[in-house]
Amino acid sequence: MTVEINLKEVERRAWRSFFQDGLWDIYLGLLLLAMGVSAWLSDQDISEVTLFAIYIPLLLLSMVVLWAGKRFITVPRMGRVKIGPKGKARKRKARVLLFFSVVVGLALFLVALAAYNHPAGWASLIEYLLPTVWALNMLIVFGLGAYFLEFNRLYLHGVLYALAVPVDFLVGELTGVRLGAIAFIVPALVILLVGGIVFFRFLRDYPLPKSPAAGEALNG
Amino acid sequence: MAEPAENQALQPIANLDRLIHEPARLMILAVLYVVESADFTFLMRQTGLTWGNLSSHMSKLEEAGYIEVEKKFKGKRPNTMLRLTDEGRAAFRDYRHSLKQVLDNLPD
Repeated sequence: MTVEINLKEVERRAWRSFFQDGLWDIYLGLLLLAMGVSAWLSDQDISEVTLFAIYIPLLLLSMVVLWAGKRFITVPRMGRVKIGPKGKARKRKARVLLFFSVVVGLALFLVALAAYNHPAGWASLIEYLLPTVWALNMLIVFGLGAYFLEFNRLYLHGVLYALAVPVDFLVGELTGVRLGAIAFIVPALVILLVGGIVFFRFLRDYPLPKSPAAGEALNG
Repeated sequence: MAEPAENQALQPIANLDRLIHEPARLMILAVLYVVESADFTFLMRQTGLTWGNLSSHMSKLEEAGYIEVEKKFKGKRPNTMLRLTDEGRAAFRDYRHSLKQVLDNLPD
């Protein structure tokens, strides 16, 4: 008889329940989709102010979808938990990663901005450097995120995120035609599809519990 | 209270905490041990117990002082969180240690 209680596995399964609903996948898909929309808008020759006026609300919408999904769909089905020390350590590592990613992303953005004001030689160096740094940043951040958070689907999402800019660049170099927004929208739709499948499975496997409130139950 | 076992070698088994040594309560304590706190629905999902079953076992654990119930409101919604007390954590650790010893000492 195997009686050993594997508390590590108990904790791991409790932690992983955070990612069973597909909402983080949907959120990441919406973020990438927002980038695609932004790329399309920038090709339409609209002002930067208008571009940000559309892009920022799209980002906020992604966050609202995540928050509302967790609040009204996941928590009523999965319940609430305050994670223990191991989960908190995972979250801390994820925050450091996110900070690193934001710093690199910001640096990339500033370099790209500066390149447009520089002689053609420097701009073409940036043109090769940007896709490489983008891909590496995405692979490293998503890969480490998947490892520390024990959220394996992040490996796939990392690859899809990483491909967006380099694929657009390579296709442009090889065929002379830039994919533009399509390079972001296609991987975004793949991520959203994955998220959607996980989400619907979650709804099927975790119907709303039919039970009295916890307080009534304990008081008899 | 049970009589002491005539075979002293079995006494450690008899001494196991009977409150914890019940599969449903053991599952509840194992989940609460690895998190800071959790509500009923989370415990129900993790353990697979029914609401009534969970409620009954939680009452026994609360009476024994192993868990505490924290009732708050999130806005207007009641939010009841359950956590192990220090006594509950110590009891669970002792139980794990005792059970391991008992099992290690059993013959092959």
